[in-house]
Amino acid sequence: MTKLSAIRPLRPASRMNVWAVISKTFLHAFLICLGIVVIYPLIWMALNGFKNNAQIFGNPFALPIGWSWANYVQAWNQGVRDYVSVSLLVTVASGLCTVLVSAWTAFGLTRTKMPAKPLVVGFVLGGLMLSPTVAVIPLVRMMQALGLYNTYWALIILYTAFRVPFSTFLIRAYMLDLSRDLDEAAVMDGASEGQIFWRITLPLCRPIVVSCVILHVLFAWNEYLFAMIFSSGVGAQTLPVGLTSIMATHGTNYAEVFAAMTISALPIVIVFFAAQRYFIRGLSDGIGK
Amino acid sequence: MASVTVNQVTKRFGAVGVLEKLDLSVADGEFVVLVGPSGCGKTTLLRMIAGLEPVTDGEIRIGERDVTWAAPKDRDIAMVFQSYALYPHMTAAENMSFCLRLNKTPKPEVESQIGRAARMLKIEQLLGRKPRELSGGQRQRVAMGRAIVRRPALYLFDEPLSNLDAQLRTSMRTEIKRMHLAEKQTVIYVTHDQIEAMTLADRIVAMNKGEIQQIGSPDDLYNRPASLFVASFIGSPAMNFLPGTVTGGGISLGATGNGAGQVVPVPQAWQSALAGHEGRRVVFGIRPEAVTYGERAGWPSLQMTVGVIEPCGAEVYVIGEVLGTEMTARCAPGQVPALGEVARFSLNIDQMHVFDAESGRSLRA
Repeated sequence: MTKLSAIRPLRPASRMNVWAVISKTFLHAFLICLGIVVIYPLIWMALNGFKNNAQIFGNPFALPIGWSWANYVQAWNQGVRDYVSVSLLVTVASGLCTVLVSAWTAFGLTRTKMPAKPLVVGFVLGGLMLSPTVAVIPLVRMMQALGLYNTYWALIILYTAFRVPFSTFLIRAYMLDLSRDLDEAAVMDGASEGQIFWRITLPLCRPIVVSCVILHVLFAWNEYLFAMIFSSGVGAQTLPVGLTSIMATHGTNYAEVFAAMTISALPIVIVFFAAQRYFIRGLSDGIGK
Repeated sequence: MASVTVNQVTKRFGAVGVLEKLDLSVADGEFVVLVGPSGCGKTTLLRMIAGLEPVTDGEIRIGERDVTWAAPKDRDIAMVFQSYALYPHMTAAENMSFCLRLNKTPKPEVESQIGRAARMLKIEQLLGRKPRELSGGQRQRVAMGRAIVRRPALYLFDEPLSNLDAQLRTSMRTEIKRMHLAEKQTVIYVTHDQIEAMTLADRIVAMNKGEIQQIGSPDDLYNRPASLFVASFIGSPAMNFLPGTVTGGGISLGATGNGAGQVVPVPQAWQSALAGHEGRRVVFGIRPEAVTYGERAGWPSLQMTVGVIEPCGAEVYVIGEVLGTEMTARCAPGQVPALGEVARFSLNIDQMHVFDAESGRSLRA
C-alpha cells in the first residue's frame, strides 16, 4: 500500500515532464524556423550586395567570393546618401512632432476636466479610422495651395497628422495608469499644468514614448504612398521612393540595388534593437496592463 | 503657523451629498485627527482644506485668509499622501527639493532645508536613492521630509501610515509625534485607525456618514463618548453593548420592556441623567477593561458562557455570551476561566455608559 501510494504520484509527473519537454522542443523549433524566415532574406540581401550580377544569377545562395564594399559605396554615391538624409530629416522631425503633440493631447485627455470628454476622446482616436488613400486628393490640393507640395515639409506635416491618433491612443492608455496622487503632490508643491507635464508626467511616460518613437520610425522610414505623391521631386525624395528610382535607373545592376536596400534597412534594425527593451515594456505597460 | 476654520462647508458630488454644513475649528499649533470609517467624508474634508477638491458651499479660512477658492500652492500647506506620491524618477533629495526648485529658491538654501529635514527624519544616507530603492518606512520618511522642507503653516496627512506593517506603523507614529513637537505646526491628520487617533491627537474629530459625531480630546472620546458610534469606534477591543430598559432601580439588561431582565444599579453620576426616563429603551455600554472575571463586592455581576479566549501577552480577552449578546472581558493572565465555562463577571459600573436606543446619543447629563 505504502509502495503503491509512493509510486502513483510519480507516473503522472513523469508523463507531464515528457510532454513538457516535447512541447518545449516544438516551440523552440518553431521559433527558430520563424527567425530564419524573417532574418534569412535580410542576410541574403546584404550578402548579394557584395557580389556581382554574374555571381547573383549563377549561384544566388552561395556566399560572396570577395568582400568588396564597391557596390555599397557606389549605391551611397548614386543618390542613397540624399535619400537617407531626407528620410532621416522627415522621420526625426515628424517623430518629434508626433510624440510631443500626442503626449500633450493625452495629458489633456487624461488630466483635465472638460465638457463632453468622451466625445473629444472619440474624435481624436477616430483619426485611426481615416484612410490615407481616401484623403490623398484633398491633401494634394491643400499642399499645393500652401506651397508645400514636393517638399519634405509636406511629409513631416502629413506623417505627424496621420500618426497622432495612434500615438495618442497608446500614450493615453499609459497615462491612465499613472497615479493621480503624483499630479496632486506636484500641485501641492506649486507646479503648474505645464510643469507637471514636462517634469513629472512626460519623464514617467518614457517607455511608451520610446515605443511610439520606434513605431513612428518604422512607419515614416518605410512609408511609400505619401512619399511618392508628395516628394517625387529631386532633393525631396525619401528612401522608398529613391530606391524605386535606383531600381528604374540601375535595374540591371542587381548587386547595387541590393546594397542600396541593405543601407536603407540598416538604420531601422539598429534603432529597433537599441530600444527594444523600452519598446516591449512600453507596449505591455500601456495596453496589456 | 496658522489656525484653520471650516465654516458651514457642504460638499456634493452631483446629487450625492458627502458633507452637509460642517463646522470645524483647528487652533494654531494643534494636532487634530479626523477619524471615522471609510466613506465618512474625512478625506474629502482634508482635500477641500488642501484645495484639491472644490467646495460646494461654505468657507475655509487658514489663519485670517479666506482660502476657499485659492489654489493649493497659495494656501501655504504641505500634504503627505497615503500612497507617499513620491516622484519615481527623482531621488529622495530631488523629491524633497522639488517644491523649492520650482520656487527658484537659492541652491544653498535648498541644501540647508534638505539637510535639516533629513537630520530630523534620520534619512541623510538615503538622499541619493530613488523611491524604488527605499522600503515603505523610508519612503514615508521622504514623503514627510518633502513636507517639512517647505516649512508650511499647515500640515495635512492623509492616512500616511496605512500602507505600513504594524511594527513600522508604531515607530512612524512616534516619528510624526516627534516632528509635531519639534515643529509645533498645525496638523490635520486623517485616519481610520482609532489607535493612531488616540496616540497622536490633541483633539479628535470623530466622523460618520458625513457628519461630525464628536470633537474632543482622546480622553473625552474614550471615557465620555457622545454617541453609540463614537463608543463603538474608539477603543480596541470595542465597547460591549447590551440592550436594556431604564427602571426605577437601574437598568434592566436584556429586557424587552417587561422588566424581566437582570437589573444593574446605576452609580450616583448617572441617576440624575436617567431620572424621568423609566421604561425608556436604552443601550448599556461597558468597556472590556471594566468587566472582570469573578464576583466583587459592591459590583453587579453577569453570567457569561466563555466562547473564545484571546491571550495578548499582558492581558487576556475573554469573549462569551451574556443575555444573548456577545461580550468581551479583559482578564489578567493566569486568572482566566476555562473555555466553555459558565462564569460570573463583575461590572465596574462607574465606567458604564447609557445610550438612547433610538437616537444612539449618550444620556449622560
